[in-house]
Amino acid sequence: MLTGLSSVCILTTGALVAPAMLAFGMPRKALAAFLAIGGVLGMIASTGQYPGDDYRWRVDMPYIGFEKPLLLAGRPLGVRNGCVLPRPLPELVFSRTGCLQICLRRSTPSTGRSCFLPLVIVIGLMVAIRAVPQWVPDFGIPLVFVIGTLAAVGTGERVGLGAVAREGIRDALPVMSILVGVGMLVQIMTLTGVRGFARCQRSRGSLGDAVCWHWHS
Amino acid sequence: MPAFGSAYASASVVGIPFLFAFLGHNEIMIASGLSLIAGLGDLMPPPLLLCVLGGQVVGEKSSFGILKEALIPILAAETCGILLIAYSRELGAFLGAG
Repeated sequence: MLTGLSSVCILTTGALVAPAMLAFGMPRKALAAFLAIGGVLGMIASTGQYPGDDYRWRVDMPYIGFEKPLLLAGRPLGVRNGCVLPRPLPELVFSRTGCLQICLRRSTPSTGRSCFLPLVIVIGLMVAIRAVPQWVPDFGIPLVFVIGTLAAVGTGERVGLGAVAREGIRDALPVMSILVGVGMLVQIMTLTGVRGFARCQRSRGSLGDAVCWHWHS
Repeated sequence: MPAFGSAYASASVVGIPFLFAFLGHNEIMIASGLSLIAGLGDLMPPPLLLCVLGGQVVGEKSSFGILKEALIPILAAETCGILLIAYSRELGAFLGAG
Protein backbone atom coordinates (compact mmCIF):
# COMPACT_ATOMS: atom_id res chain seq x y z
CA MET A 1 0.00 0.00 0.00
CA LEU A 2 2.96 2.32 0.54
CA THR A 3 4.78 1.73 -2.71
CA GLY A 4 1.84 1.30 -5.07
CA LEU A 5 3.62 -1.28 -7.23
CA SER A 6 2.71 -4.89 -6.64
CA SER A 7 6.15 -6.51 -7.02
CA VAL A 8 7.95 -3.77 -5.08
CA CYS A 9 5.26 -3.99 -2.41
CA ILE A 10 6.00 -7.68 -1.85
CA LEU A 11 9.77 -7.26 -1.85
CA THR A 12 9.71 -4.34 0.60
CA THR A 13 6.65 -4.45 2.88
CA GLY A 14 6.21 -8.18 2.33
CA ALA A 15 9.78 -8.87 3.39
CA LEU A 16 9.11 -6.92 6.58
CA VAL A 17 5.86 -8.74 7.36
CA ALA A 18 6.83 -12.27 6.35
CA PRO A 19 9.22 -13.16 9.21
CA ALA A 20 6.70 -12.07 11.84
CA MET A 21 3.86 -14.02 10.19
CA LEU A 22 6.05 -17.10 9.84
CA ALA A 23 6.95 -16.76 13.51
CA PHE A 24 3.23 -16.80 14.31
CA GLY A 25 3.02 -20.15 12.54
CA MET A 26 1.24 -19.12 9.36
CA PRO A 27 1.68 -21.71 6.58
CA ARG A 28 4.15 -20.61 3.90
CA LYS A 29 1.76 -21.06 0.96
CA ALA A 30 -1.02 -19.09 2.65
CA LEU A 31 1.43 -16.34 3.58
CA ALA A 32 2.77 -16.11 0.01
CA ALA A 33 -0.81 -15.93 -1.32
CA PHE A 34 -1.63 -13.29 1.30
CA LEU A 35 1.35 -11.18 0.17
CA ALA A 36 0.57 -11.66 -3.53
CA ILE A 37 -3.07 -10.58 -3.15
CA GLY A 38 -1.99 -7.73 -0.88
CA GLY A 39 0.42 -6.61 -3.60
CA VAL A 40 -2.33 -6.53 -6.22
CA LEU A 41 -4.72 -4.61 -3.98
CA GLY A 42 -1.90 -2.28 -2.95
CA MET A 43 -1.29 -1.49 -6.59
CA ILE A 44 -5.00 -0.93 -7.28
CA ALA A 45 -6.11 1.07 -4.26
CA SER A 46 -3.00 3.01 -3.30
CA THR A 47 -2.00 6.53 -4.17
CA GLY A 48 -0.31 5.23 -7.34
CA GLN A 49 -3.35 3.56 -8.98
CA TYR A 50 -1.10 2.31 -11.70
CA PRO A 51 -3.64 0.57 -14.02
CA GLY A 52 -6.05 3.50 -13.64
CA ASP A 53 -3.28 5.86 -14.73
CA ASP A 54 -2.49 3.54 -17.62
CA TYR A 55 -6.06 3.90 -18.91
CA ARG A 56 -5.87 7.65 -18.46
CA TRP A 57 -2.66 7.95 -20.48
CA ARG A 58 -3.61 5.57 -23.24
CA VAL A 59 -7.16 6.78 -23.76
CA ASP A 60 -5.75 10.32 -23.53
CA MET A 61 -8.66 11.60 -21.47
CA PRO A 62 -8.25 13.68 -18.32
CA TYR A 63 -10.03 11.14 -16.13
CA ILE A 64 -9.83 12.01 -12.43
CA GLY A 65 -11.50 10.59 -9.37
CA PHE A 66 -10.35 6.97 -9.30
CA GLU A 67 -9.72 7.17 -5.56
CA LYS A 68 -13.24 6.51 -4.26
CA PRO A 69 -14.21 3.64 -6.59
CA LEU A 70 -10.84 1.92 -6.17
CA LEU A 71 -10.98 2.32 -2.40
CA LEU A 72 -14.51 0.89 -2.45
CA ALA A 73 -13.25 -2.05 -4.49
CA GLY A 74 -9.87 -2.57 -2.85
CA ARG A 75 -10.23 -1.99 0.89
CA PRO A 76 -13.04 -4.49 1.66
CA LEU A 77 -11.15 -7.11 -0.35
CA GLY A 78 -7.99 -6.26 1.58
CA VAL A 79 -9.77 -6.59 4.91
CA ARG A 80 -11.32 -9.86 3.80
CA ASN A 81 -7.92 -11.08 2.64
CA GLY A 82 -6.38 -10.12 5.98
CA CYS A 83 -9.08 -11.91 7.96
CA VAL A 84 -9.43 -15.13 5.98
CA LEU A 85 -6.02 -16.11 4.56
CA PRO A 86 -3.95 -16.04 7.79
CA ARG A 87 -6.13 -18.80 9.23
CA PRO A 88 -4.29 -19.83 12.39
CA LEU A 89 -3.11 -16.31 13.15
CA PRO A 90 -5.82 -15.04 15.57
CA GLU A 91 -5.46 -18.07 17.84
CA LEU A 92 -1.68 -17.64 17.87
CA VAL A 93 -1.77 -13.90 18.46
CA PHE A 94 -4.12 -14.25 21.41
CA SER A 95 -2.45 -17.36 22.81
CA ARG A 96 0.16 -17.45 25.56
CA THR A 97 3.01 -17.09 23.07
CA GLY A 98 1.37 -14.04 21.59
CA CYS A 99 2.49 -11.17 19.46
CA LEU A 100 4.54 -9.29 22.05
CA GLN A 101 6.42 -12.38 23.21
CA ILE A 102 7.37 -13.41 19.67
CA CYS A 103 8.43 -9.89 18.76
CA LEU A 104 10.54 -9.55 21.91
CA ARG A 105 12.19 -12.92 21.30
CA ARG A 106 13.05 -11.89 17.72
CA SER A 107 14.25 -8.39 18.51
CA THR A 108 17.94 -7.57 18.61
CA PRO A 109 18.74 -5.54 21.70
CA SER A 110 22.14 -4.49 20.36
CA THR A 111 20.59 -2.18 17.73
CA GLY A 112 18.08 -0.51 20.04
CA ARG A 113 15.49 1.95 18.87
CA SER A 114 17.78 3.40 16.20
CA CYS A 115 16.91 0.46 13.90
CA PHE A 116 13.50 2.09 13.35
CA LEU A 117 15.11 5.30 12.05
CA PRO A 118 15.12 4.33 8.31
CA LEU A 119 11.43 3.42 8.51
CA VAL A 120 10.65 6.73 10.22
CA ILE A 121 12.64 8.63 7.58
CA VAL A 122 10.89 6.88 4.65
CA ILE A 123 7.37 7.33 6.06
CA GLY A 124 8.19 10.88 7.20
CA LEU A 125 9.43 11.86 3.73
CA MET A 126 6.39 10.29 2.04
CA VAL A 127 4.03 12.20 4.33
CA ALA A 128 6.02 15.45 4.09
CA ILE A 129 6.03 15.39 0.26
CA ARG A 130 2.23 15.30 0.29
CA ALA A 131 1.55 17.40 3.39
CA VAL A 132 3.96 20.31 2.81
CA PRO A 133 4.86 20.23 -0.91
CA GLN A 134 5.98 23.88 -0.79
CA TRP A 135 8.86 22.92 1.54
CA VAL A 136 9.61 19.33 0.54
CA PRO A 137 9.76 18.80 -3.25
CA ASP A 138 8.58 15.51 -4.72
CA PHE A 139 11.89 13.84 -5.60
CA GLY A 140 10.31 10.47 -6.36
CA ILE A 141 9.66 7.29 -4.42
CA PRO A 142 12.91 5.55 -5.51
CA LEU A 143 15.06 8.31 -4.02
CA VAL A 144 13.02 8.16 -0.80
CA PHE A 145 13.89 4.46 -0.49
CA VAL A 146 17.56 5.14 -1.36
CA ILE A 147 17.70 7.69 1.49
CA GLY A 148 16.06 5.14 3.82
CA THR A 149 18.59 2.51 2.75
CA LEU A 150 21.52 4.86 3.35
CA ALA A 151 20.13 5.59 6.81
CA ALA A 152 19.89 1.85 7.48
CA VAL A 153 23.63 1.39 6.84
CA GLY A 154 24.51 3.26 9.98
CA THR A 155 21.67 2.28 12.29
CA GLY A 156 21.00 -1.45 11.94
CA GLU A 157 23.23 -4.47 12.32
CA ARG A 158 26.46 -4.28 10.35
CA VAL A 159 26.20 -5.90 6.91
CA GLY A 160 28.65 -6.29 4.05
CA LEU A 161 27.21 -4.08 1.32
CA GLY A 162 29.01 -5.98 -1.46
CA ALA A 163 27.69 -9.35 -0.30
CA VAL A 164 24.16 -8.01 0.16
CA ALA A 165 24.23 -6.40 -3.31
CA ARG A 166 25.45 -9.67 -4.89
CA GLU A 167 22.73 -11.65 -3.10
CA GLY A 168 20.12 -9.08 -4.12
CA ILE A 169 21.09 -9.26 -7.80
CA ARG A 170 21.12 -13.07 -7.67
CA ASP A 171 17.58 -13.09 -6.18
CA ALA A 172 16.29 -10.40 -8.55
CA LEU A 173 17.62 -11.81 -11.83
CA PRO A 174 14.92 -14.52 -12.27
CA VAL A 175 12.21 -11.93 -11.65
CA MET A 176 13.85 -9.49 -14.05
CA SER A 177 13.94 -12.16 -16.75
CA ILE A 178 10.19 -12.75 -16.21
CA LEU A 179 9.55 -9.01 -16.52
CA VAL A 180 11.59 -8.83 -19.74
CA GLY A 181 9.54 -11.75 -21.13
CA VAL A 182 6.27 -10.05 -20.17
CA GLY A 183 7.48 -6.78 -21.72
CA MET A 184 8.26 -8.59 -24.97
CA LEU A 185 4.81 -10.21 -24.90
CA VAL A 186 3.17 -6.79 -24.46
CA GLN A 187 5.18 -5.31 -27.30
CA ILE A 188 4.20 -8.19 -29.59
CA MET A 189 0.53 -8.00 -28.57
CA THR A 190 0.35 -4.23 -29.04
CA LEU A 191 2.34 -4.45 -32.30
CA THR A 192 4.66 -1.71 -31.08
CA GLY A 193 7.46 -2.47 -33.50
CA VAL A 194 5.16 -3.44 -36.35
CA ARG A 195 3.31 -0.13 -36.19
CA GLY A 196 6.55 1.77 -36.66
CA PHE A 197 7.54 -0.53 -39.52
CA ALA A 198 4.14 -0.11 -41.21
CA ARG A 199 4.31 3.67 -40.89
CA CYS A 200 7.81 3.64 -42.36
CA GLN A 201 6.63 1.51 -45.30
CA ARG A 202 3.55 3.67 -45.85
CA SER A 203 5.59 6.82 -46.08
CA ARG A 204 8.19 5.01 -48.21
CA GLY A 205 10.81 6.18 -45.79
CA SER A 206 13.92 4.43 -44.64
CA LEU A 207 14.58 2.87 -41.27
CA GLY A 208 16.48 6.04 -40.37
CA ASP A 209 13.36 8.12 -41.08
CA ALA A 210 11.32 5.84 -38.86
CA VAL A 211 13.85 6.18 -36.04
CA CYS A 212 13.83 9.97 -36.44
CA TRP A 213 10.02 10.01 -36.45
CA HIS A 214 9.89 7.86 -33.32
CA TRP A 215 12.50 10.07 -31.62
CA HIS A 216 10.63 13.31 -32.40
CA SER A 217 7.10 12.02 -31.68
CA MET B 1 -8.14 -10.28 -19.11
CA PRO B 2 -5.89 -11.67 -16.36
CA ALA B 3 -4.89 -14.53 -18.68
CA PHE B 4 -2.29 -12.22 -20.23
CA GLY B 5 -0.11 -12.86 -17.19
CA SER B 6 0.60 -9.23 -16.43
CA ALA B 7 -1.41 -6.28 -15.16
CA TYR B 8 0.28 -4.02 -17.70
CA ALA B 9 -0.45 -6.37 -20.60
CA SER B 10 -4.08 -6.85 -19.49
CA ALA B 11 -4.64 -3.11 -19.09
CA SER B 12 -2.87 -2.12 -22.31
CA VAL B 13 -3.98 -4.84 -24.71
CA VAL B 14 -7.53 -5.71 -23.66
CA GLY B 15 -8.45 -3.02 -21.14
CA ILE B 16 -8.35 -0.07 -23.54
CA PRO B 17 -10.72 -1.61 -26.15
CA PHE B 18 -13.03 -2.62 -23.29
CA LEU B 19 -13.01 0.94 -21.99
CA PHE B 20 -13.83 2.27 -25.46
CA ALA B 21 -16.62 -0.30 -25.77
CA PHE B 22 -18.19 1.04 -22.57
CA LEU B 23 -17.98 4.73 -23.52
CA GLY B 24 -21.20 6.42 -22.55
CA HIS B 25 -21.39 4.62 -19.25
CA ASN B 26 -19.58 5.95 -16.18
CA GLU B 27 -15.99 5.65 -17.50
CA ILE B 28 -14.36 6.23 -14.11
CA MET B 29 -16.22 3.28 -12.60
CA ILE B 30 -15.62 1.15 -15.70
CA ALA B 31 -11.88 1.93 -15.65
CA SER B 32 -11.78 1.17 -11.92
CA GLY B 33 -13.44 -2.21 -12.43
CA LEU B 34 -11.14 -2.98 -15.34
CA SER B 35 -8.13 -1.93 -13.23
CA LEU B 36 -9.12 -4.36 -10.51
CA ILE B 37 -9.52 -7.22 -12.99
CA ALA B 38 -6.35 -6.31 -14.91
CA GLY B 39 -4.34 -6.17 -11.68
CA LEU B 40 -5.01 -9.86 -11.14
CA GLY B 41 -2.97 -10.53 -14.27
CA ASP B 42 0.21 -10.28 -12.19
CA LEU B 43 -0.86 -13.45 -10.35
CA MET B 44 -1.62 -15.53 -13.41
CA PRO B 45 0.44 -18.02 -15.41
CA PRO B 46 2.64 -18.27 -17.35
CA PRO B 47 4.79 -15.72 -15.45
CA LEU B 48 3.02 -16.08 -12.05
CA LEU B 49 5.02 -12.99 -11.16
CA LEU B 50 3.58 -12.18 -7.74
CA CYS B 51 3.31 -15.85 -6.77
CA VAL B 52 7.02 -16.27 -7.59
CA LEU B 53 7.92 -13.15 -5.62
CA GLY B 54 5.71 -14.10 -2.67
CA GLY B 55 7.23 -17.58 -2.70
CA GLN B 56 10.72 -16.08 -2.82
CA VAL B 57 10.03 -13.92 0.22
CA VAL B 58 8.66 -16.77 2.36
CA GLY B 59 10.83 -19.58 0.94
CA GLU B 60 8.08 -21.51 -0.87
CA LYS B 61 8.94 -22.97 -4.27
CA SER B 62 5.52 -24.15 -5.51
CA SER B 63 4.16 -21.11 -7.36
CA PHE B 64 1.08 -22.99 -8.56
CA GLY B 65 0.38 -24.04 -4.95
CA ILE B 66 0.42 -20.37 -3.98
CA LEU B 67 -1.93 -19.54 -6.87
CA LYS B 68 -4.29 -22.31 -5.71
CA GLU B 69 -4.25 -20.85 -2.19
CA ALA B 70 -5.08 -17.40 -3.61
CA LEU B 71 -7.93 -18.67 -5.77
CA ILE B 72 -10.83 -17.54 -3.55
CA PRO B 73 -9.53 -13.97 -3.09
CA ILE B 74 -8.91 -13.82 -6.85
CA LEU B 75 -12.50 -14.86 -7.55
CA ALA B 76 -13.74 -12.32 -4.99
CA ALA B 77 -11.74 -9.54 -6.67
CA GLU B 78 -12.92 -10.64 -10.11
CA THR B 79 -16.56 -10.58 -8.95
CA CYS B 80 -16.05 -7.17 -7.37
CA GLY B 81 -14.58 -5.82 -10.64
CA ILE B 82 -17.47 -7.21 -12.69
CA LEU B 83 -19.99 -5.68 -10.27
CA LEU B 84 -18.25 -2.30 -10.58
CA ILE B 85 -18.62 -2.52 -14.36
CA ALA B 86 -22.19 -3.87 -14.32
CA TYR B 87 -23.48 -1.26 -11.86
CA SER B 88 -21.18 1.57 -12.95
CA ARG B 89 -23.93 4.16 -13.28
CA GLU B 90 -25.58 3.44 -9.93
CA LEU B 91 -22.30 3.13 -8.00
CA GLY B 92 -20.88 6.20 -9.75
CA ALA B 93 -23.90 8.26 -8.76
CA PHE B 94 -23.66 6.93 -5.19
CA LEU B 95 -19.94 7.81 -4.91
CA GLY B 96 -20.17 11.02 -6.89
CA ALA B 97 -17.50 9.77 -9.31
CA GLY B 98 -17.46 10.49 -13.01
